[in-house]
Amino acid sequence: MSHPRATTRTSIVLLILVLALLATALTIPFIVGGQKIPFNDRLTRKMEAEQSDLVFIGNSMMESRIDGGYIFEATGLKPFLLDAGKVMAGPSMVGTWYLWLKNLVVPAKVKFKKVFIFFVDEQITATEFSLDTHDAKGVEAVLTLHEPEFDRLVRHKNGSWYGTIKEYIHRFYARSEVQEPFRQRFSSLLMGLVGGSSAEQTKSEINSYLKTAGRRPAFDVIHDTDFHPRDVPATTTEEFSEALTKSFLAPMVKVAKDNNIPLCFFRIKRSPLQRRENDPKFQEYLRSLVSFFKAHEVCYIDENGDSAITDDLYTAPYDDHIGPKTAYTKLFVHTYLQQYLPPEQK
Amino acid sequence: MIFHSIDFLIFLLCFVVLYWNLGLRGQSWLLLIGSYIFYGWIHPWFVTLLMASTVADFFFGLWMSRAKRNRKTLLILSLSFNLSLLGTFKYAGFFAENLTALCGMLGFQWTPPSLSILLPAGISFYTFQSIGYILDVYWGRRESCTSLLQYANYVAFFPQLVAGPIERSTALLPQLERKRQLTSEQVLTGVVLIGWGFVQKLVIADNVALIANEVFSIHSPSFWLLWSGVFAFCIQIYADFSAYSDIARGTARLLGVELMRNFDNPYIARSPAEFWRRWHISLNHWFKDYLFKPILGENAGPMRLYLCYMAIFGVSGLWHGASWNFVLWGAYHGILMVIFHLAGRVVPHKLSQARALLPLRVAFMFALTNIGWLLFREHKVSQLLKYISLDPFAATDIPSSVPKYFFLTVLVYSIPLWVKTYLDYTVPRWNFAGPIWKRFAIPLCACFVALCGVIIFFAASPNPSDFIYFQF
Repeated sequence: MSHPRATTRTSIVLLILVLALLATALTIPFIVGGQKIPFNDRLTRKMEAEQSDLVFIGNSMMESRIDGGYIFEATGLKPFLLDAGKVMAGPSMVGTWYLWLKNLVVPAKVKFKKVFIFFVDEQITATEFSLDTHDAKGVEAVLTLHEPEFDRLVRHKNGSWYGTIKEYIHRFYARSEVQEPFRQRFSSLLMGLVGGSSAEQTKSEINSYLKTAGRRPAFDVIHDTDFHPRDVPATTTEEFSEALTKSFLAPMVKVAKDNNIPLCFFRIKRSPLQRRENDPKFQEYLRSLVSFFKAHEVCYIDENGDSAITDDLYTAPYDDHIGPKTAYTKLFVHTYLQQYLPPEQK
Repeated sequence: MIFHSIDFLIFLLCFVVLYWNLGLRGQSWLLLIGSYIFYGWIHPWFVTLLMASTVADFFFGLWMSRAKRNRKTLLILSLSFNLSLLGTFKYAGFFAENLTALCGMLGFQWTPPSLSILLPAGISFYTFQSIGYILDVYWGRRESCTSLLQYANYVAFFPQLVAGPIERSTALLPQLERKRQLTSEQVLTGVVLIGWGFVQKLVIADNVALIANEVFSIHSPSFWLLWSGVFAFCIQIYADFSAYSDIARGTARLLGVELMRNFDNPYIARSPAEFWRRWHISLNHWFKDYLFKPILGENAGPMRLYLCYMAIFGVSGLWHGASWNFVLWGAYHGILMVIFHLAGRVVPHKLSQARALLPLRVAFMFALTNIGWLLFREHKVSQLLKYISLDPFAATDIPSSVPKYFFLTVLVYSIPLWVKTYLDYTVPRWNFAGPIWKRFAIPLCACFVALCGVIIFFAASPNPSDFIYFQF
């Protein structure tokens, strides 16, 4: 038997430590909490001013592949790039794409020739939505006051109590939002210390080297352990139908149809290590996806069968480390924008 | 389940509350169910393998304890079972790959069949722990465990299941068999260890990992850029693994169980032997007790000793991973052990122990350790050869600010580790039993935990990764 006094003391110690944790947990968001960002249509105005012909929506994988300058030079078409990779993480991106399409692209007084949405694997029907504050800020800037579809899919979506708790914790902690300026100050300080020149010069020197440095082929470099399972695609017809009701794919298609936006979904070819073309379940998922696009008469391009995109284009184990951007864009233009090329280049 | 997840924090909180409201039997059942949930959280099939290993070794131990004859046969059967588990799940692909290459060299094409399955996390850890138990029973160091429930808890004890420390049956089993108590000291030190573990993992290891990954993905780094990456990996692997061990020990303390210390400031070692007394202590004790001593025997000559060093470190390398670079890493440390042993016989004791030379010896050993980490980190032998031939004085178009920035960033992130090393040598001189410490222990620990929370909030890496040792 333990001594009663010892048990009481242990309980008090536990209580104090839990209180210390709670006090920290509650104080930090209060101190560093931010304000809601109002809707910003700056990008719509920019599209109008430029009279863009093409819009590219996607994440860093799109940003690392599409060289807007080259497209303009080769085709004369004015591209507009909307890259969620810089503000979003994970499945939240697709929700942001939907908002961009609905609240930025649709209202623009521009006759677009094509609006591409770049995605990977089953990302386009992802049903998870993580709104930590960093993501929330990105979303807030493109949220209007009346968003019934977004509310249905995101704000009231987390059915399980466990998901709700996790979501609440993420929302409560403005961690990534607070971290970014902190990290930038920290790295600027260190860059100032190492460079003979100013921190800004050192920063640009380091960044330009890292951007252009030759990378090893993906398979040469050690990966993180594969302890986490890959996202399980919705394979059966029922699962796929359910995923459709919870994801942003159907709303995106509807918005585009209702507003005559020439939308085109573009499935990129992943790095050799990430490909799942031999996975029968994944193949089943793709068949359902293609059927959906066909049924809704939506443009869908899958570059996975494109042998011109060779493995040596991938210079690191990440999908967004694809060789020289212009080389890829050239392939993209000659394969998928051929109709816009001048006759001598066809 | 991984330690640095909200899932784990919720799991731990619920678990601890429930656990301390149960009697011994209830605690044991809860521990087993909780451990299996923890282990099978992401890949449930891992649990079936763990169960199979547990049941087999439990009965091998029981039969061995009761058998008057054929004990050796039972031992061989048990070892074969455990090693075949490791062989199948961890090394089959490696051997198949090398056999294919060998056949190719001999002029014919043959590819042996191999399993293309995910390596079950922590298989090397719990297999070694099971082997340790069987050997303890065989050598009569302990009686076989008669309760399958307790033995299953010994193998699957969730705080240390996936990446150790590899516990001895003589230390862990008795703690699981008897009634446990929670003291305020256990709570305080447990929570402090968990807090410190999270800082090491999320702030130090995961931040410097970004630099290590960046450097090792570059095709042709300069000498200084490469070594800035190796330095980053050196800090990453220590902070990462030490974090896991500390969180494991802290969690175990909250359950009233004491686990062994796995790290003792390894980067201030003055020799390879000292390094291995400070690094992954539980594995090295395992090798020492279950392999090194039995192989070496008594009154062994220096030649046998050196051969033993090479063999044990080679096996230790292979234990880490089914890849030639790990074997090279092990062999490298074996060679260091031999060289330092030989040097110890030549260099006068007074000179080698001179206080003035201490910083030099630590720095020299740290540099040698980093060479080892290069072998550990780089999987491709051809790339390793390229790295080793890099010239520090060669002209390069890589701006000097890049490696300098990387070195400085890693150094800054590693400051808490060096401060901790310093405190480890000064704090023991403090009088913990004194009234001042007793009065301030709780507020100090509460402040420390709060500080850990603040540091993690502001400085945790945006790209957290799995613990490196999960893959072993």
